[in-house]
Amino acid sequence: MAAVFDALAGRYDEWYERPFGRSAFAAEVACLRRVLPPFRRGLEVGVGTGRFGSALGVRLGLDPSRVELAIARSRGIEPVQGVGEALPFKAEGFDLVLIVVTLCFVDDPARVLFESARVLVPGGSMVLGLILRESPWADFYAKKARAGHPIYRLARFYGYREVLGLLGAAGFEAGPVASTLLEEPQDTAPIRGGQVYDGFWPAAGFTCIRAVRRSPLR
Amino acid sequence: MKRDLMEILACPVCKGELELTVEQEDEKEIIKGSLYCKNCNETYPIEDGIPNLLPPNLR
Repeated sequence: MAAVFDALAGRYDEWYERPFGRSAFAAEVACLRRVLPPFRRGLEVGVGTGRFGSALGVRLGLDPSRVELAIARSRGIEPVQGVGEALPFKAEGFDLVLIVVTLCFVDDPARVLFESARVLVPGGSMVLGLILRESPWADFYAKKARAGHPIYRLARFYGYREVLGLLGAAGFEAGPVASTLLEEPQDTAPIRGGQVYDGFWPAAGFTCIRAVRRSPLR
Repeated sequence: MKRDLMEILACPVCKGELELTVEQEDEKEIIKGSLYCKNCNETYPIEDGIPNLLPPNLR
């Protein structure tokens, strides 16, 4: 996985500069902000090239790809190389863990969520940004994967209920949800609206869930 | 990596304390060095300012 992102870091990052990517990114950041609580000490798991973390003020970023981390550092992120399944951090050191379009790429999402709960203080929040299986956008990306897209090929999209189940099992209470990209999937033209809607919308291309770490963990 | 990161870093495997060894440092951060976990007898390198805390089986 890291090798793929190392090799494609430039291409992946450049996506955000194209007309679709730039407009979709703005809508995704607005959607994340809708559920993001105030925080003091944040960690982004799967920080990649640091676009989301730097837009949202999350200063510490973890990723397995060194090439992407070097780009993230240029955006003001303090980089740590590692994986979400084995977080190299002490327990209860953060009040926010941010995970954006990363759960679909990890080997073991349940373990990533357990580890996230471990490093959060009781009452701390995790914010997830997801492409969910119900979404027509998941089909759109799956089609690209079948056509040989090197990144989407590695993605596994989870259903909304499935994610809620994983959150509960890891010791989280799911809180506010917000959705955006409620439009026909495409990746060439700027998105039309980019409005953010409260709650889960199966037609949305991007869904954000805030989940609070229960105390004590079960 | 900045020195104050040591307050929150832990071994990715056993979550124990890490011992820092600095080989090269500038006024802002540690450029080269290592992080040693006594429990696991494992050394994690710091290169180009980025600590590599991948579990040993993924390195």
